Amino acid sequence: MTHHHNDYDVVIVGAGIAGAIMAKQLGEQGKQVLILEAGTGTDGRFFDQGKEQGYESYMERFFTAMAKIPNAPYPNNPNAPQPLVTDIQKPPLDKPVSDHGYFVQYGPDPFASTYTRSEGGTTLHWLGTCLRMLPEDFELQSRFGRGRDWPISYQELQPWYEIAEQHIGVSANADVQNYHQIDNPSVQLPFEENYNYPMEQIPQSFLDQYLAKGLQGMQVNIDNQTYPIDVVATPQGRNGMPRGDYRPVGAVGNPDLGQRCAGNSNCVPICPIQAKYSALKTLEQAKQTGNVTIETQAVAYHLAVDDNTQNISKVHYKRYHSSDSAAFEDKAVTGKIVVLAAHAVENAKLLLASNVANSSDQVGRNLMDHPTMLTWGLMPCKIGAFRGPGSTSGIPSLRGGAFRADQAAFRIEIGNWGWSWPEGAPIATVPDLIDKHGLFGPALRHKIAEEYPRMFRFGFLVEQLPDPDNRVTIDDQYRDQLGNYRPVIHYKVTDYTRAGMAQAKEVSDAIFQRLGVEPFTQYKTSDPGYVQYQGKGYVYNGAGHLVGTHLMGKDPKDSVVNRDQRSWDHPNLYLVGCGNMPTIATSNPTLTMAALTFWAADNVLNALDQY
Amino acid sequence: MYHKLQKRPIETLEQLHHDLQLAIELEFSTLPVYLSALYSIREGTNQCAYTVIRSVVMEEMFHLTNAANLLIATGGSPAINNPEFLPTFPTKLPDGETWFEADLQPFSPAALRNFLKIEMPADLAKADDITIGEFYVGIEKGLETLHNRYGPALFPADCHDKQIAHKYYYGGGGEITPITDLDSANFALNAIVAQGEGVPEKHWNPTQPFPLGETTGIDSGDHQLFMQPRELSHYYRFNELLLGYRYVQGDTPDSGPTGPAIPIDYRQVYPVLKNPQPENYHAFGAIARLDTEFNLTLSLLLDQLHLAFNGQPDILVAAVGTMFGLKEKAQNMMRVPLPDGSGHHAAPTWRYIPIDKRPGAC
Repeated sequence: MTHHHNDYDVVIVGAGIAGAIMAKQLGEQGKQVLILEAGTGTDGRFFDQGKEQGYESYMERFFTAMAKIPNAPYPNNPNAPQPLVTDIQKPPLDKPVSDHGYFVQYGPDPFASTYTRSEGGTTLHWLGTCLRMLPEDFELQSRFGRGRDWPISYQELQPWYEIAEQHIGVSANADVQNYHQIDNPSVQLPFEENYNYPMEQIPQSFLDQYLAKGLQGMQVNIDNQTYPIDVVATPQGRNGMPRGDYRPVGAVGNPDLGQRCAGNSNCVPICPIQAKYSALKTLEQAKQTGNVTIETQAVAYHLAVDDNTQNISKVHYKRYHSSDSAAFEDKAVTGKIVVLAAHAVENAKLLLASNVANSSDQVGRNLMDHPTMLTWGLMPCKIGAFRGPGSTSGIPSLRGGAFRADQAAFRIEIGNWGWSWPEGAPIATVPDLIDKHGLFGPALRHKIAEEYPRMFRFGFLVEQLPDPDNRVTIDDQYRDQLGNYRPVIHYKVTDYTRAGMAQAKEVSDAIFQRLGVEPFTQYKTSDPGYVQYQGKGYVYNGAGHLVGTHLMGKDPKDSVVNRDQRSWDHPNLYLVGCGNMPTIATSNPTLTMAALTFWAADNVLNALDQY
Repeated sequence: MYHKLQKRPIETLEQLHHDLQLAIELEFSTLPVYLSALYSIREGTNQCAYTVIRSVVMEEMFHLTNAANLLIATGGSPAINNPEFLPTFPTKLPDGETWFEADLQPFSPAALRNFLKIEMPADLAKADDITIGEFYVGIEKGLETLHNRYGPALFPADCHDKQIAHKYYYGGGGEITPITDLDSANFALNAIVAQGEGVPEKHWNPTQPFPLGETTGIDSGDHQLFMQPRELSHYYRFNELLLGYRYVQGDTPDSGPTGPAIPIDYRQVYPVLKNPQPENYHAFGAIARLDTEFNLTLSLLLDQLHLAFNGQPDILVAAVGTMFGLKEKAQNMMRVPLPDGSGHHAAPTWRYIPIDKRPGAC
């Protein structure tokens, strides 16, 4: 099944979800595809019988990790280093933070998001949220005078959303996700008539139901306009109960596993039974076509350009033999078409390192994330914290509205895992009860039994606008051990977003008051993500939603790819991934990225017909 | 009330319902046997054996659901939450297999030999020994008799929607298909027999070589029935574990498995009590409490299954959580050595506690 030519129909850089979808779509049409993956892989194995590969070895690493951060299960690999949330510091005023982790950060605010460099990519540790964008999210500039318009509309992307939802296997109910029950026309989503998701929605948690009941009829006022507060189940890329003939894909390497979500409570950072979708499943399907080869431990570092045609003539990569040593072979490969699917930051880095696709000077610019503000407190009664998937519902009713002319929109995520994110509960907080509060024996047990099931938190995913000064660059001073560039990041959170955070905090306070939640939220000036707005302090975290570094547009002068997701500068170069998105809006970007990638794969197939 | 198989052909609807209720009890009665061995394996060790036993457990639940659906489809009601539903171990299986007893014991060669008896294919059993497969053949014949008498009315239309739908159950077991007529009823029964004993084949010769051919009689049948990867039937999957090798192409049931070795480490098993009884824990209050907690969870599970099979299928969603609770409580017990110096660890006694006997009941 493995073809070892040096000449492929398509060379894809990156074996995450975008690369996997592209490879599967092309492989199914008989195209010869090579994927170059910088990280290591599992070889499709679940068990590994003591070897360092296989999904189970990730599980073991997670169980023994002291800090259960998103990348904890995935091996540290100096040949394909990855950012970690534990690296993030507040950048000093005078010098960059250059000695902590993979990113070099110039600030003024820290960029707090991470991703996974491994076969399967960041879907190995994503939460699985699969929201569509709103129609108005595609027209931010023309409707609100903010950000940019997309070169495509919601209507055009709509059929591709359906394909992506079927492929990922999203659990949700369409008559809930069209938001027609929400009294805010801005957020209502037109679904194709009779369309429904492939699986029924994941059951909402007891907490979700408690909130829905308690917040019934609640409204907030923004700019003299009232908006409802509605609790709605969130569509999820995890196996629920299949609708009709739909059959979800089992676990890669162990088809006995991978059935319905069993609420293991650690899908971030790793789902033990692969009930949650990961790109490993799509990669397996791609391999089954017999036309797709995956070469792991292969770091692409340079794209060569044919001066006559402006085509990408070769992809140069370093193939290292183990993550223990910096020894590598220098190799190169040719594809009729080259697709970069290496993640927003890595795509930009590779383009900048090769000095290609950048006639617009927009490569690496407009880096966006969802600065995520948390609020937390104790519910007046036990709401069953620490059970089920990380989040099963949210409050989407402020995702859109006239206020976007002045301040960021936001989505409210309802967390099922108590104070795990803001305080590290229960693992980090129990020692505090013992060491700092002197509790032991029955008193300790009583405190845990009384308080932990009442722990509650919101997450506010706040919109950020494309800003050319928020950017990934490269600098000869900063290289990894293979000699490849490390990302150098300039990042700030503007007043538009800070105003959204302030608004979110007001909404949170109102909800806490209504429900009788005892607030414990603390924004410390020492937190890396501490920012101020109108004299008040807030703290943001990274959402892991890295968007915008090679955005698409209508004009080659101010965008990197066209609506086909093809580079304006190089006819045989396609870019995929969240880097293509001109705005981030309020939805977690994976579903939109997947939909765009199915579209891009169609465009690549059409282009290949001309070779 | 359903204790023994009455040795007679099925002539009435009542007799069919009696035997289907027995089938449900039979399928469930294997679970304490398999789960006692499964949960005695130390976490993270013996992964291959763990996966094999777990996959059989999943299929037993699938069989239970098929039997229950057939009972529902013919107008009956499964009875699941009562003390008689569960046997007391050691036990003869409720379908009249008198030639051995099923034991609760830790994962061990002895446990695997016990499993082999439970899953014995009729072709390998002694002529007089009834097997599970033969019990189901009796039900198939009874269905035919009754269908000849009642026609399609044997499967009333208002019973279609009361059955458990596939959406509640997938992954590792098989595909639940609705029972609406004789063909679909036979398909559901055939799935049980095929996975347990292997596809029955009249002229099967046990010296015939693999590969797991359509006609060797030891194929689980999943491949043909559900488009799943081909695998051995339960008996041969357990035999691989007992002998420590995989069957490969060219092997025969007589030759035994000659393929790759299966790594098994019996030292990585909690040495739990064989066939534990409540009396074993009378002297140890804390362990008795753990056992009660386990039995309360088991009782909740049986209550939930009873409701699910009696018109409220959505309760199966909650029952999945209860099943995980059962595992957690069993493992909590099995980590605890008995303080009597015997070297044995505690293990659950698998008793149903009626609602009026539960703590806090008035």
